[in-house]
Amino acid sequence: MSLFLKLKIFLKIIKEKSNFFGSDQIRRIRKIKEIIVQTREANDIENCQGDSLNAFDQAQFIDMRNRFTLAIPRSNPTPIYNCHGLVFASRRTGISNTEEIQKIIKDDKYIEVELNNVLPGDIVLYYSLDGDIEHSGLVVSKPDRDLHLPFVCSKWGKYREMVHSATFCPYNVSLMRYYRIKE
Amino acid sequence: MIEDLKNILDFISLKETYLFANTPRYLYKNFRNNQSILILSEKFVSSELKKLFYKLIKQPRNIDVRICLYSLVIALSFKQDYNTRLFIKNLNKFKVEWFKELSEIIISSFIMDQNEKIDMKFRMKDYFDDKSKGSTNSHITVNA
Repeated sequence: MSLFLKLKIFLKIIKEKSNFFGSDQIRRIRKIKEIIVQTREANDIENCQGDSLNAFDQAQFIDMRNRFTLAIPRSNPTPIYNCHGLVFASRRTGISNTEEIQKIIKDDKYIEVELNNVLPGDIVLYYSLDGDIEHSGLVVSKPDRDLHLPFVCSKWGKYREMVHSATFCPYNVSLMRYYRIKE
Repeated sequence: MIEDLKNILDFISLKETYLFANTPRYLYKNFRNNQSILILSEKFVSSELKKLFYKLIKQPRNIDVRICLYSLVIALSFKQDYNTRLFIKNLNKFKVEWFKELSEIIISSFIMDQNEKIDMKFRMKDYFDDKSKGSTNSHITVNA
C-alpha cells in the first residue's frame, strides 16, 4: 500500500472519529422532536416541539412587554408549542402546517359559527389572504356589547400565551373565522 | 459579522416577526415584505450572501443567528440564478427549523414567477400577432 493511500485512510478515520465524538457540525444538528398527535379519524398530524430557549434568547423577549399593553400575558415564552399546538394539541407540541390544521378541522367535524353566536370554548382561526392559517386561538368570552368582539387566549409564536381582544394581535385580522365541534 | 448584518437589517421588526411566527409562510411573507431584506439582497450578489450564510451556519444558534440565517435565505429568494435555486432546493440539509418548508415555499414562488413570465410572453406574442394582422381589438388602434 502506497504511503499516499495510507495517509488518505488515516485522514478519513480521523475525520470520522472527530464527527463521532461530536464535532461542531454534529452537535448543532437539531433533534426534531415529534410526538404522536392524531385527528378523531386517527390520521397522524405532523408536529414539532421547538428548541428550548437559552438565557440570551429569553432576554430578547423583554422588549416585547411594552409593545402590546392591551393584551394580558398568561405564560412565559416557550417555543415548545405554538398557537395551533395550544388549540389542537393541548400545549404539547407545535403544528405549523396549514394543511394539517385543515385536516383536523375536517376530521374532527368542526363547523363554522357566526360571530353573533360565538361562545367561550369555540376556536378562532386567522387566515391570511393567500389561505395560510397564520394564527389560532381559544375563545374565552362572548363578544362584548360595544365592539362585538370576543376575548381570545392564544399563543403568539415562540412568545407567551396572551389573552386579548380577538383583533388585538400581530396577525391578519381581516379574515377571522370561528369554529365549534357540535357532536 | 452579525453586527454588520444587524446594521443593514431592520432587526427589531424582523425579530418580532420571527418570535410571533406560527407558520413558515407567515415568516416568509413578513420577511420578504420587509424593505431591509430587499436592500440586503441588492447590496450583495448571490455568492456573497451564500458565503455569509455558510459562516453563520457554523455559529451556535441563538435568536440573532437564526434571524440572520432566515434573512439571508429570504434575501436569496430574490435572486433567480441556477446556483441559488439549487442552494434553496437543498436548504433542508442544514437542519434548521422551517428550512425545509421555506425551501418548498420559495421554489413554488420561483415556479409561479416562471409561469407569470411565460404568460406575459404569450400575451406579448398575442399582442404583436394581432398588431401584425392589423387588429383593432386592443385599446391601442393599429393600422386604423
